[in-house]
Amino acid sequence: MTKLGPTRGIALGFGLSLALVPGSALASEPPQLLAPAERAIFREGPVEVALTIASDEWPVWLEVDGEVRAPLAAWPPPKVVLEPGMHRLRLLERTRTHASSATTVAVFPPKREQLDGRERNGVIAVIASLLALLGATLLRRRGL
Amino acid sequence: MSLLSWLLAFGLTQAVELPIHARALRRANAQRASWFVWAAAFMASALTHPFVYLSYPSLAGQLGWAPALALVEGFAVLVEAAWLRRLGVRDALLWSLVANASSVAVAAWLRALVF
Repeated sequence: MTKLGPTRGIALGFGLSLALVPGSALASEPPQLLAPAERAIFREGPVEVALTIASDEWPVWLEVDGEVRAPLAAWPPPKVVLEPGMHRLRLLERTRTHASSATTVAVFPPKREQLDGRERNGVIAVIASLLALLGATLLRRRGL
Repeated sequence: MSLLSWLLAFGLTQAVELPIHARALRRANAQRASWFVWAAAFMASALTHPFVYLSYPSLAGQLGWAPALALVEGFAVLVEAAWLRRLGVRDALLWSLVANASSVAVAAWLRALVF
């Protein structure tokens, strides 16, 4: 039987490691889009959305609705401008072979409740103004 | 709801109600010192504002905004009228109504048009 020397031992260990480690772990990891997570943005569009990206390599490529945009660097903090509507965002790593899972971002006009709040305050303002004017008129008539 | 937002609301309320209360009190207390009139006018709103400001959101959640507003502002008008009446103001209820309606109107116009 052949004796296992240090050099052969190291070579064998390295070979075994390569054979046992799953292939995906050795491949480059796709970047991850941490923010925005799946969400809705209630603002009049277009809106600028800040992106939080975890990536080992830069630049990364942003894909919006299947269309690859300009590459993003780690600095300045990456952002994307989104028109009103639903959008699917994905990140592609530097070689554009691996993609992150898609994130859905929806840009809607302000919620109806916010408009209701504005209208409600308008109603309160009109009624309170009328009451104040009526009271002031009565005070004036009484010579106060 | 922060302390700053309460302070802003209190400042706005005082800015509107203080001159109205002071005018009512000055007529009834002509012989009193000016500081007394202004202090009594300040106290009128200070007595009720914390209750109105802090209780309105939870009451509005339970009763709806209109009944809650009527309730807290009705309370403010009555308590401030009692305070003014105690200090000799004639038509205290009317003065209190004018002061509170004015401050609500200013705050509501600001919220509707600016914020």
